[in-house]
Amino acid sequence: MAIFDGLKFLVFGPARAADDDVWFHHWLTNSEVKRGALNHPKCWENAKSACPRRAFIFSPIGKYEISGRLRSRADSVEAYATSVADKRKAANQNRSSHEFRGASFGRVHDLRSIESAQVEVYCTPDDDDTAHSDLVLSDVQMISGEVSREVWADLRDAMTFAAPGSVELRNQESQVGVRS
Amino acid sequence: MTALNYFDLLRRTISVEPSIDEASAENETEGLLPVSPAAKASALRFFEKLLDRGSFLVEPSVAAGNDGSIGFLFERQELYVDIDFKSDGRLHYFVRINKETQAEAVLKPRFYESAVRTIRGLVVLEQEPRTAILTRVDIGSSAEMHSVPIASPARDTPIRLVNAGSYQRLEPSLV
Repeated sequence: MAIFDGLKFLVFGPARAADDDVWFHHWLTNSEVKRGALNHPKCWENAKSACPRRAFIFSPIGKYEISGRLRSRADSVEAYATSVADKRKAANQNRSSHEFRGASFGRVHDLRSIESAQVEVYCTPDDDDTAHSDLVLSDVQMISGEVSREVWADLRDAMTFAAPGSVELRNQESQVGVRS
Repeated sequence: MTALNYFDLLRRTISVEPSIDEASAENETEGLLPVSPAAKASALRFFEKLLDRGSFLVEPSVAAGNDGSIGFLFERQELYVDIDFKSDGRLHYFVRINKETQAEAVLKPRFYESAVRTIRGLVVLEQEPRTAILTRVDIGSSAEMHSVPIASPARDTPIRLVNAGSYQRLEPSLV
C-alpha cells in the first residue's frame, strides 16, 4: 500500500485538499498587516513564489504557489506561527521583529471558485509541519504581461483576516483538526 | 509640490519586511525593501498629477514589493483602487466597485493621464485651489515623527499622515 501511495504521489503529485477544509496563511511581520487595509495585495504578491515547471507527471503546471496550512491537519494556528517566529528570532540573534500578527483563512471551495485564476490547494506536509499546504495558482489572468491585480483582489475577497486575540481567531483555533 | 513632499516623506517612512516565504531563517533580512528609482519617480509624477488641487478622499495603504515595486491601495466600503508602480516605472492600476472590476491597465508614464482621470474622481477630494494645498503633513512611525509645513493658505485643510500612508483628518483647532 505504501509503495502504491508512493507511485501515486510521483505520478499525480500531492493530494488535493478537501473542498470543506480551510486553508490559512499566517502573517509574521507588522508590514504585512496594514492599517486600514488588512492584507495588502502587495503582501499576497510578495508571499508568492514561482512553481516548478512540472513537479509531477500529470500535475497541472502551476504559475505561482503560496505556502500555508490546512486547518484539518493543524493542531494550532497561533502556537505554530509563534514557534516559526521564535525560530527566526533565534536564527537572527533576536534582532528579528517577526511575531504572530494574524492569519487569513479561506474555505478551499471558495478559493477554488476564484475566477481570475485556477486555484488548487495541495496537502504538502513536511518534517516541520504536517499541516503544510500549498495554494497553487495556474491559468492566471494576465494583462500586458503582468499578473492581473484582480487575482490578488479575488484572493483577499476569498479570505477572512483574524487578528491575534480576536473572536475570529478563537473560532478558528477551536476548529483545528476539523474541516468545516 | 505637495505630491513631491508627500511622496518623499512617505518613501522614507515605508518599512516593509520580507514576507514569511521570502525570508528564510538562513537568509533573513530586516528593514526596508528597496523601491526602484524608476518606481519612485513614476509614483511621484503620478501623485503630482492626481493630487493637483485636491487631497485624498480615501485612506491609502502603502506596501513595497520584493521586486522594487510599490503599491498603494485605496479601499473603502464598495471601493477598491489598487495602484502599483512597477520597478521599471510602469503604472498598473485596477479599479473595482461593488466587487465588479471597472478598469485595469498597465501604462507607461507618458500615458498616465487616462489613469489620473479614472482614479481622480474616486480617491481625490476636489477642492477650491486655495484650500486644496496640504498645509501640514505629519508622517511618522513609532521611531520618529516628521512635521512638515508645506504651505499656509488662509483656509487650510490640515491632514495628518500616520504610519506610511494612513491618515486622518484633524480639525484645524487640533493642529
